[in-house]
Amino acid sequence: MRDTNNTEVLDSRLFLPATESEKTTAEIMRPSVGYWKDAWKRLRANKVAMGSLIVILLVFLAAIIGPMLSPYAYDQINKGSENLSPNAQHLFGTDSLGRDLFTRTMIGARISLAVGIVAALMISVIGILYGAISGFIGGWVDIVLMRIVDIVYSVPTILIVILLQVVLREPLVKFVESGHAPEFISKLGVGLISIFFVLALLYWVDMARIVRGQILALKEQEYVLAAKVLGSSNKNIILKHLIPNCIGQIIVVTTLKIPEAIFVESFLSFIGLGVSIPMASLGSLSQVALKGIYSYPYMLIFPAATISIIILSMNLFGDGLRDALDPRMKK
Amino acid sequence: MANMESKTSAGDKNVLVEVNNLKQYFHIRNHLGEKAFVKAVDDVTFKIYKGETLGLVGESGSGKTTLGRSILRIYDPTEGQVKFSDVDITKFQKGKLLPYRKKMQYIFQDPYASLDPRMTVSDIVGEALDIHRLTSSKKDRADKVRELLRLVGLNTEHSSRYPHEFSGGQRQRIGIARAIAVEPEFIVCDEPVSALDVSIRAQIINTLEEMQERLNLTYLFISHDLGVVRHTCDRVGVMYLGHIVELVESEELYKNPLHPYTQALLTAIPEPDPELAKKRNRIILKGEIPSPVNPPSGCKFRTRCPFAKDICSQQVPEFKEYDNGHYVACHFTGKL
Repeated sequence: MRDTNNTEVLDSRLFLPATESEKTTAEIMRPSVGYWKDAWKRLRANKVAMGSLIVILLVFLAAIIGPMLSPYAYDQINKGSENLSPNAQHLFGTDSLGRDLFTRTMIGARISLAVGIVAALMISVIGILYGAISGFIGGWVDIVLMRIVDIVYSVPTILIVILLQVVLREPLVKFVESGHAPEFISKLGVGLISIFFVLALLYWVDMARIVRGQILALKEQEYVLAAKVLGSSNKNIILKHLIPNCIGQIIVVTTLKIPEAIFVESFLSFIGLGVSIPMASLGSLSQVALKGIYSYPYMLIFPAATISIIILSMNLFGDGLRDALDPRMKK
Repeated sequence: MANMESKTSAGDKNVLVEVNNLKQYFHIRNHLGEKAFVKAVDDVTFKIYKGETLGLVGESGSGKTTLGRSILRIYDPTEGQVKFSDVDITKFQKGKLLPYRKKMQYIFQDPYASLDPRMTVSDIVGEALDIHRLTSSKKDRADKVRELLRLVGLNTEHSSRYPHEFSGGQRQRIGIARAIAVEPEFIVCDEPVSALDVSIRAQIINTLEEMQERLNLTYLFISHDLGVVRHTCDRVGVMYLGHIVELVESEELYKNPLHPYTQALLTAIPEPDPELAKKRNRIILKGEIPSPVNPPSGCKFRTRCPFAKDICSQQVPEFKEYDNGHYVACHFTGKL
């Protein structure tokens, strides 16, 4: 009885040599899962972040191609259709000069997004270089550079914007009048240009601090020593080893800086320090609407809601990105 | 490596690396904010001959790694001299040092920390080629990387993978490939196998030996594993608290250790045979290795030496040749 059982279990047919095709299918070919693929997988699993990403993409789409599709130009004054409530012709209604608010909101979003992205890029470039140099060289250089950061951190933003506007206005106006200035400068106006200056001058400090902290930890790693032994220059060590290894943090800070810059721009435009008429930004639209808030509340609601949606979705997306890029920070 | 012994015992040995009175101090501040020095390497003098493997043993904190790194100018030595092929490289600045960077390489202890996690294997190995402009084209670079990977026993298809996809032994092979990519003459192996599983240590050591034979390399082999050192090294230096206390051909060291610290170390090698282990009388040293911030006066080992006399606390023993090629730093060499 036992014997037959055994022969059944150890059936010789089970021990045939594998065919060629079986061998290739059995070969374990795990695809090389890189850092980015892994991060993308984690990000995709995060519903809030993905929802925010879709909202951001929609806003981008509307801001970039929306005004082109609109039958009205953002500065087109339609006599006879002033202060209209939202209707089929004017989705968001019109303002006191009869300009289509839907188009103006899209243009405003375009300005806001442009400010956010350009500012975030400027902040990143300055902050990364500054932080990397400070952290890598260390010692006295680090101490001096970080004290400068502390000073910049304590400077009141609004004061600097107002000062810069006063200082910049005259030379900029002269520059535009001289005819050599590129067109975008006159189009953007002194207000917006000084906002860029302020964002570049004052908002890089967070990035510098974070990058410095990362570099301080990373530069003691043995692979940095290995690069040094190979004769790698400091520039190459920073650019090829140190910065790529804190790229996750950098991306997250950059993403979170975009809404911050948008908010600053909206706020400054709202108090009248931003874009100049007839250019619209979400902040200046809100400011104009404030005057008629009791009679025409929709004029305020649409641009204000757009700011909120952009900032909220950017912040949520940034949080999701942080969790995806650095799984250790996940709670 | 062991078969090089015949060469090294000959009189006409070529010196490749010469270390004279090398000191490496690090500035620190103690808890009171006072400045102090860590004397990681303190007045060390020795030579490394072409083609040999010089072992460096000692317990943790004895300055082995620092010594290896000072020789390669990863640190700037506080005092003293490092000569490579009779050229004093101690004070060379970046540009002048670059050709010597190509001749001297380093294999790290921890294969997990010594490879950049964001670079593929071909970039890690290729970086060395790029810095010293050893390739003529992209294709040439890829070919050379593949050749190097094959040489150290890795699969060439792995060149586009990232370090985290490899085992410890494979990673160490990548580290070896990176080191030999620039065709160096001298490699400091800083405990290259101590972070690895016992089962793959032998493989890595064999790879290192094979590379030495093929590429005519000279090794400074840092280790705390006396068994590995005995197998791989032609000569062995024993370090204690920043000093080399004994330096001799490895067989002689195991047969006839002269410094009391070496004697104690050798009895600490585990003996697999329990009967033999019982018979052996192990010298157990009292206490811990003293702090290198505040080392004892005179002979650094006197606080733990079973034979210490008055003179040991007053005079630093000279590191001198006691017997043919057998250097010891002890007041009572041969009298114990």
